[in-house]
Amino acid sequence: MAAYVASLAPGPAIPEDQYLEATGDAAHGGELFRINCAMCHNAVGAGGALTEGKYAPVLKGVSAKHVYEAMVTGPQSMPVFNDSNLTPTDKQDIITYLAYMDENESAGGYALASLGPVAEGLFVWIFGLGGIIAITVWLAAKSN
Amino acid sequence: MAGKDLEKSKEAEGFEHEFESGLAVISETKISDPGLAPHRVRMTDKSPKHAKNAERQVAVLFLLSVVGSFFALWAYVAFPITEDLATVRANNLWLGLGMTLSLLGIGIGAVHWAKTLMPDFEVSEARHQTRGSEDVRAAAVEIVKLADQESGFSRRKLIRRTMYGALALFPLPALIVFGDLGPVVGDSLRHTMWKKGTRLTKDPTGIPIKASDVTLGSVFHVIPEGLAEMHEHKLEEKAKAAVLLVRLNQEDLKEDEAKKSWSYDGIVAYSKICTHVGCPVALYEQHTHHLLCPCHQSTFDVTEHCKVVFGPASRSLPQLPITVDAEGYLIAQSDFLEPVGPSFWER
Repeated sequence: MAAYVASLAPGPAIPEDQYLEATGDAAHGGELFRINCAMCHNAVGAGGALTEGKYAPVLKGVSAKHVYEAMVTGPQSMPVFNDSNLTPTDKQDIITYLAYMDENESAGGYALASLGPVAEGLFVWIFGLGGIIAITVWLAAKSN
Repeated sequence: MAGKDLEKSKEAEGFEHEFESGLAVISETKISDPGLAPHRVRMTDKSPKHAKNAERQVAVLFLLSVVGSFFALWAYVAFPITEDLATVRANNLWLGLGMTLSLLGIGIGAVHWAKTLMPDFEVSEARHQTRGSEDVRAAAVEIVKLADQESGFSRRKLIRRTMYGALALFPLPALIVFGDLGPVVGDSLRHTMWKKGTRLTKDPTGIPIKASDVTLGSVFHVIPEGLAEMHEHKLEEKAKAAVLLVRLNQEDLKEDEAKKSWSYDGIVAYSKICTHVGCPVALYEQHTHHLLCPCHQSTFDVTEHCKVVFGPASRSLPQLPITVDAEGYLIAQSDFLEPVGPSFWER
């Protein structure tokens, strides 16, 4: 079936296995990810919203092959990142960064799905301010 | 304070001068002072058993604080921060919980003590008049007169006038020094690093981009040639000069006649700095050709000179006129023709 699809039109080949191993430079991959990917997929790959209900998917637990193929083909709303933009080694570094983020949990405690200021702000508004209000009410109340 | 209350407190404190309302508006329908709510006796005052219980509760809270302090000390030793970043998490969590318990135990214990066991009676304190008594005011005037007499301030004109001059000029050096604190903005908001012939290079490597590299549907995050090698003011320049490069089908582009020459073979370059409040706009949707700003959802249409199609931005993203040089690399025709980024005072 893959051969039939390939006969219909030219397109990028299935990536070579050597670029799919998470053995690249995670720090460089992180820098490339923040420049090229993070605006849609979130700085740690937690996904994010686009216009009119479209969204950039979560990248946690996605296979390296899938990530690589998405970069060269640009599925749905995603633009294409060809080999002169991000070289195969660059792509491997990005895959290494994503694998690193998968393996290492947030050092700062519970990450609230890594969604950033909206989730964190909501948490603080409800539990932080709620706690402060509760303590204030108790402080001002007369004892029985 | 309502007029009636003032009268009352005046009587109470024995002021002899006339009541003045000043700027306050005195209501015609005065609300009478409801007085204090009836006193309610606490359980701890009625029953010694309850008082004993409350005493124990306060002691338990203070003991909890002691436990928290020891726990925090123990946690600091038991969960050290090592090379592994994940150890920060356990360290912060347990150390923080110990310290929270230690501090909250003291605070809650002290308040509980005050609320249940310390004397319980209501006190009302009337506000005193802001105007001093006639004697005090007269004494103050005397002091000023005496000071004038002794110093000769009114009498010695020469001293007085030279002192005025000295005081007036004294802040002058400070004004000059403060004026030099920062650089004058000048026209730096109107110009970026881009100029005629500057190559478009990849962020962050600074590798120049050939027009043939930019395939259909591609997005390149672009910085001007030379920025990658900068050491000083690199971020300031990048914040103004960052550009997004996209290739569209030539027939999808709806270009103004005057700006037709700004694109090259369907390749267009736009400032990445949102015209609303300056976030980097870079969420490019390949099929709708919309650019979305993640901060406030301003949406720009890349096919029509990045005009605003949704959101709070009020101006199109500035377009960078581009072309190719003899070697096929993309270069800028000039700087942006309008200031990039959010509106400011003089535009």
